[in-house]
Amino acid sequence: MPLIETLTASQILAIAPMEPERLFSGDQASLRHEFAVLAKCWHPDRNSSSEAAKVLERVVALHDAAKRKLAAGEWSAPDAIRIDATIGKSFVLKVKRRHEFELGEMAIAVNRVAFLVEKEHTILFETGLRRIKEIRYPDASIRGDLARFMPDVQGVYETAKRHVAIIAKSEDVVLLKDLLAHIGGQLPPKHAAWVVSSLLNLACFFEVTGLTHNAISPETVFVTAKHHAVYLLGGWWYAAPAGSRIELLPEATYAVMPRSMATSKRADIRLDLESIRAVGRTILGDSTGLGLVGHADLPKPMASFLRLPSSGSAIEDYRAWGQALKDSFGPRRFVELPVSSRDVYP
Amino acid sequence: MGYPRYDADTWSTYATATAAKTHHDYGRTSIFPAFDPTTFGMRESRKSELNPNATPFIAALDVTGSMGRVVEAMRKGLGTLFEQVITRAVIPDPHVLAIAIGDFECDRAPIQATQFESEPVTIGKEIEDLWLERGGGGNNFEGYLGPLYCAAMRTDCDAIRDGRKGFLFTAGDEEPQMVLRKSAVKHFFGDDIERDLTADELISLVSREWEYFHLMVTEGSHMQAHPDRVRRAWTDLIGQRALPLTDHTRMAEVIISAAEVVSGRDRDTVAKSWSGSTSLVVRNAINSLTVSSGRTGKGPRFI
Repeated sequence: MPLIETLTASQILAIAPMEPERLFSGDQASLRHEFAVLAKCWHPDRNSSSEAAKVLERVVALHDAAKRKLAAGEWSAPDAIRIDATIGKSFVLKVKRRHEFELGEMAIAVNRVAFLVEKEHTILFETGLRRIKEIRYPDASIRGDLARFMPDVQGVYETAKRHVAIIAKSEDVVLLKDLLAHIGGQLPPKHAAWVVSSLLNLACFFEVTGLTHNAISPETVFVTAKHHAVYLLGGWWYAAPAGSRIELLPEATYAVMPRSMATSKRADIRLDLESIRAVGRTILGDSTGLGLVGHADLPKPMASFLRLPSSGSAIEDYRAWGQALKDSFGPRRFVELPVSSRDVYP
Repeated sequence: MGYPRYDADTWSTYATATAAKTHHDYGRTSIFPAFDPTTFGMRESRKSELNPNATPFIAALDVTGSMGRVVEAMRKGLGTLFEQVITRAVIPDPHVLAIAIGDFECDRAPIQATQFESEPVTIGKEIEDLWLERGGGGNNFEGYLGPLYCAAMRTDCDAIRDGRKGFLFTAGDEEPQMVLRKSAVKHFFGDDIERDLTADELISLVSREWEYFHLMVTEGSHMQAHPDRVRRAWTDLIGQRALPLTDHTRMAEVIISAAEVVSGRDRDTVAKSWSGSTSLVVRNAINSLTVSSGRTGKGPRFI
């Protein structure tokens, strides 16, 4: 771990509030000292950064979590999760990164991702696994093209308090949110472009097969920077056949839900399409999109597409996005993003 | 824009000097170039030392036919708007932008937008510079979607970047516009967009960042002729956010009251906070307005 006073705002904000082990040492004396150092560094009276207050708030939350965990004897090595399944099987998953999400916790290991879902959300957990199992590919060619971007469930377990699903991933795959935090909260427009293109491609597949995902966000999307590949591994708990009744959504997609869906409460590909545009805005560093339209470095056709509403058709959106990219950058060219998973998860 | 702050004496001097003015005195015979959306990029509402929590308000007013009096009522009510918002302290540091609405199919300037201003004299003077074209057509709607497009695509507000919503009010006496044509966006905003935008799409878009209301001006000639039709059309489109405005001279009070109710203040308390006939106008406007309880705790959201 680098010297605590040299951590940047984005490095500290990338630490989930329930992961104090990633910031602090595991004894009371060190905790007191480290907290004092960080509080001094990030207090808005001493630090003029616009993010100082937010960072200090996160430091305080992490300090509180550290005190609780130390008092309860729950301080764990930051890189391991022990899973004690009720059937008697126990194993330790060495993890690179842990994130809280609205149903529980996501733990990212070298070549797998564990979703630990609280038992109060059993129905969503079971629905998610069923939807993954029910993914249908129209033919072998499409399966060959797309199956690798969908979840491959390697194990399902039940512990005393949680359900656990283990999903396979290759080593170079990282959570989009983590990639974003690593590179300072903003992808260059040409790299945001391939993320959105790939997601729209998946949305076309969903539209053709009558499926809706309903939880596409930087917290559920995984990528490989090297190959410009996008994997939809998280969020399947909310997936539903198009037109079927849905009642629950994560906050990120609830925020962009079209009005017509709020009234009908029926699954609609429009939500995935709006969510993809929101992902595009977020990875360009402006989740509202307010600054995108007047942004000097961002071509106007791309900004306008991401800010305006979806057409409601994945295929039409894919076509329009292709045109926006062509108008923005000319013919497509591969531009390398020199970031590896080892950079993101050292 | 929007760095100074409300000063009662300055407003009083301006209000006294312009008290005799009516909408017939507005002198422009063409659009003021600075208010033409084809000439400007973004309208910005920025926080400052004097206004650390700037809250954007957009008042978009129908200026077709005889509706120019609504604009003048808004101008005269600006002192009340700033003073009461500040005194009541429910919503911080108002920044007001005014929009004149015309008809995209018939008028020469169906959308004109001032700057965001943080005190009433400056915005009052800008309102005096709006061109009251007094046009409109026989199509039973005015360009009410123009302000929604303007708010969504042509404003950049610190409040919204900080996660707070702005307040957007349109006001007029006709039915809603249901489609904003791609060609109109090109012609009157100078923007190339992919396709026409429906009212539902623009309301979804703008509602992420703005609390949107429409004030149905019941004194307007069109609404007097077709009250049920106008009311039904707006209610079908935006539900309880369609507010009847029974006295256009009390528009500022209705705007403040609606904003307070969606900010969590009790509806009856808000209505009772005004005296005499103003209280009746406000109560009539916000009578159906309810607020969702919002989100508590973690976990998924119920739709």
